[in-house]
Amino acid sequence: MAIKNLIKENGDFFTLDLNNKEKRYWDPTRSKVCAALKKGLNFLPLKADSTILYLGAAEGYTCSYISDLAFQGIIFGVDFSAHSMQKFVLLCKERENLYPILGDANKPEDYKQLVDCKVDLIIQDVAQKNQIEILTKNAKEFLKPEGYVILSLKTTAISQRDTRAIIDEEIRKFEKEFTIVDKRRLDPFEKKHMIIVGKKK
Amino acid sequence: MTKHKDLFFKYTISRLKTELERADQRIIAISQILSSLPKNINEIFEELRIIGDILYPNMEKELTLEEYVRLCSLEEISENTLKKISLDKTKIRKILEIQEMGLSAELEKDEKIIFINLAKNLQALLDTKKSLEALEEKMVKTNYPNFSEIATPAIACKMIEVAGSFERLSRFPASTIQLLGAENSFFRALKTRSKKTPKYGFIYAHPLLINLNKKDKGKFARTISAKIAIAIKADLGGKDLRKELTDKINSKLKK
Repeated sequence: MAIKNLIKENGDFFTLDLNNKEKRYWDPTRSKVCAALKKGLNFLPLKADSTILYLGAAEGYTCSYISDLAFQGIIFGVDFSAHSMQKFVLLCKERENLYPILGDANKPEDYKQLVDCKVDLIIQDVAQKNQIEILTKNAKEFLKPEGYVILSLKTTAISQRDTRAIIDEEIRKFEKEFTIVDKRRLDPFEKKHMIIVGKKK
Repeated sequence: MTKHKDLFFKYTISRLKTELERADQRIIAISQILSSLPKNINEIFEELRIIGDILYPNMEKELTLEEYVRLCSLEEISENTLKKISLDKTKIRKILEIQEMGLSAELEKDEKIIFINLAKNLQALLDTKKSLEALEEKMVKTNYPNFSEIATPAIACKMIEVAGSFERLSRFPASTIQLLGAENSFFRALKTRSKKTPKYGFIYAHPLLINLNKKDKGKFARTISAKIAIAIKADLGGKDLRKELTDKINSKLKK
């Protein structure tokens, strides 16, 4: 999958030109959002000017592509690991619309003062046991009433039991807070993973 | 909408620095280096011996690794130079004997220079290892006085490394601390449902534990790990319980 490159040069944004070398390839084996799109996810709730909260930004591989897609918006990248945050801060220096936050996604009150506006979309990619709980906490704090969430569910982080049973259980929890728009298993690219797109009730 | 991006950088970078500069993270980094450094030293030593065997046959059996490396980094071999690298008289005699018999080969000048360089590099690695060990011991002793007193610095470092951070280690119960470092055999025992669960992990190397007989080892491992758990919590709270804990351990040891 190719996407236009948005790093600022001479004050202008690059424009999309697929025959040009300015396009960048998005690797579905490294990014779960890309894998979901490859599997035919028919709705990505992204606009050019949307504000996005990205939980579990890590070194910012997916984040950089999201920042290309939402080039007029703002993306807050939250991660807990200081080591990968070092690389993410450098990426934020390059890209105008990326904002780094070193914090625990489990405690949204820690970075509540920094993110002082409501966001259109929360993307969550933290492999934790209480993934859904973390998502609902953040959604209560930051999400707009008609906002969307994208959850990447790692079932092995929850339990080693049968994958399908865990997914059913987690979806039941998820549906208490959100309505499901679309969901995809990421099988050839990531095993035992699922991307769920939801809308706030 | 333009946001105050500088604020984000300031907040994140300041938190990032304190996070990365924390004492337990530094200790973990050092002990990670120390766990892989001996392997590399052994590998280079093997390479050194490819030529070293030709020059000084049979000496690898007589000398320790450090002495062998010092011998290899010599440019000229005579009684004086050998004395300088602090070898025993018997060892010096053996080396000179081999030289007199003409058993060792003569190398070309270029080859010899490269060989000596390799030996010097290995010497530098050995020195680094020594200084790293000293540094690690110093860091543990200053930052966690109770913990390093009860568990010895070397074991304390390994425990912090496995736990990931000191704060996480402080939340472990004594029974977990007893088995830290024996995860593989513990989970194997659980899986096969055998009754041979491990009794000790890293604390097996504890100087008080080594000389005990087999029956008491398991029991005493339990008391030591309980005291270690208390010591860790004392360090977190900033108290000094060294005397009380060592007294308790010694009184248990007498029984």
